[in-house]
Amino acid sequence: MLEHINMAFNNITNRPMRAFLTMLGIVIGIGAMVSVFSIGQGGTVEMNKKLQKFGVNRIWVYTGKYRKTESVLKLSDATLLENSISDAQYVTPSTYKNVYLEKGNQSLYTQLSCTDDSLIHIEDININWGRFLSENDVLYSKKVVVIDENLANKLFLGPTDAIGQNIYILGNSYKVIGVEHGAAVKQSAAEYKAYIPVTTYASSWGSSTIDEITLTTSDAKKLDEVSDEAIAVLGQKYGTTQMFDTYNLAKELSIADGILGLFSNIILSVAIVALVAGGIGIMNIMLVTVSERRQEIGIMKALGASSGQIMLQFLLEAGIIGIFGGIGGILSGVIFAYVFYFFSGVMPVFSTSVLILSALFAIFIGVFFGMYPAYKACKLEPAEALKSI
Amino acid sequence: MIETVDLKKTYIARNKEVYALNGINLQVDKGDFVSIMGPSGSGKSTLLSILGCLDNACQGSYYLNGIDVKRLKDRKRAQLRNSVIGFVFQSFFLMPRLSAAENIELPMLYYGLTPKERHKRAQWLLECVSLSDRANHLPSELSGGQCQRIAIARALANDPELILADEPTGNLDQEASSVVLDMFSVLNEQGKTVVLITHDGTIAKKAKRSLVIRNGIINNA
Repeated sequence: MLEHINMAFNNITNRPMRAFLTMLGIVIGIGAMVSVFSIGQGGTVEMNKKLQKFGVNRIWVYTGKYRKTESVLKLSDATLLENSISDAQYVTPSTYKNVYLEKGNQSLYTQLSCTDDSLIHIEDININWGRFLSENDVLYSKKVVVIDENLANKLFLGPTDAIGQNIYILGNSYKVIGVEHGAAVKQSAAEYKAYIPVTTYASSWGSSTIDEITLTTSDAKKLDEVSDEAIAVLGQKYGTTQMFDTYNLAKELSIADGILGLFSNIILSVAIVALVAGGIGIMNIMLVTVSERRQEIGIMKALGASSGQIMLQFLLEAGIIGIFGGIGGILSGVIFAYVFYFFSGVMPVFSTSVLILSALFAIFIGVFFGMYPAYKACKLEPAEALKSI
Repeated sequence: MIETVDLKKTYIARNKEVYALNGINLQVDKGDFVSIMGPSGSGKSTLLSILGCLDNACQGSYYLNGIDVKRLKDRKRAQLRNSVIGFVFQSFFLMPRLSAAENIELPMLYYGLTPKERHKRAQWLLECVSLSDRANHLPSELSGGQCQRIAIARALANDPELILADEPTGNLDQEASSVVLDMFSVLNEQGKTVVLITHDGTIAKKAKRSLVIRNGIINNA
């Protein structure tokens, strides 16, 4: 066996340029496959990380077009939804206001989330100092506020200093009960972030409506079901379901997944076409090799090589081309994925199973497309083969 | 050793059947040294192909050691070529990318000898043909005479009973020819059956028995 492998190597290295060009098809195909898989996997991981922070099993319920239509949702609707939907884990009413937080002569433009105590279970809120809003705060419409670390640093000497002190929002005094660790506000005009009880908002602003109600489910598969239920419950109360809309990340997730999948599939099919083309390249070259080496095959037969041994010889050559094409493909795929990372920031994820499978696939392509030429070689009549052409 | 009964072989050329062999009755006993002489196109190479189990006859029978070769499967015929027959060709037919020693080892590889056994026997055969110092040379680095001696060593790799030689001196100069021919005589003395094909009468005389083939039929010389 070792000698056969040796001879196969000998025959391949005898024409290095030809061998290289034959391998190129496999290199491109496997390279595309490896990079698509690893970049795709990296993208999925990245996306999931981002979505997880946002809350994957969360449903937003709001009126009409989000924040464009005057909201009709009331605080009591949150209680209604909480009581009517058994699959709802947390029901959180929220309203967002951009206001100035004042202390002394300082005033800072802040995004104010008017919500209840359940928010901390849903969002990624880290209270490192003091506490978050409590059930009592909400129940008794207490004038308390949770501010972020930046605010604490700007308005006070720091988070520990801030706890227990008072700040002013629209002329009303609020007691700081907690400081959130390092929160940065995104997609908002305001630089800072603070939380007050939604009930306090209702009484202070004199508003009877809230922007949105969010519901979470323990089972992400029930997102659509719970969404429909929420619309139905509100529809029954208001007489129409047309007014309300829901939003959840399952749609985002599946759309993003779908786009990512589509993208992967397109490139994957290109990769497969490249691999088949590469395989046909192998077949083509092996057929040329067989006719070039007719006399050698004749000699091998005259010396008593069996059909199996000749077949093995040619399959080994095709297989070796496949192996090296596969190794080259994996290397170039990994390199390409890192180059892509450099430009896009998507860290590729290389799974061993994908790498092993690609290598096996490369060998399979080599052997599969080497089969016919090898068969042709072993079926040559020795007397015919020996005659020089 | 060899017995043929009314061997016929036809080729189709320009839609016409052409007889390459037209009823060959040949008997070669064990230990014999037979030369078959004939002009080109007389069918002598075709006959050798059939005797060497490289080709099948269209009609008639060929018995090698009493076995009807026509009835053998491919694998069995390959085994016969491997261990019962040793070939020596006019243009040597050495593998161009294998060294002299590797060429000699090839039939042993197909036979299934271990690398150690192969190596040992190849060294011994190289000694027999006085080319021990050329073991690692490629055929392209050897002279014609040396190549043919390597080819003879290869023919002896699996210690066959029968040596088939097709114009073995056709590409050699006189000196190399006589070395090669002497080897056949020595091999015959050692008990090998030799069938030698040539178109040269002086070479044919080296054999114990000379036959002439003409138009696919054998006559005694």
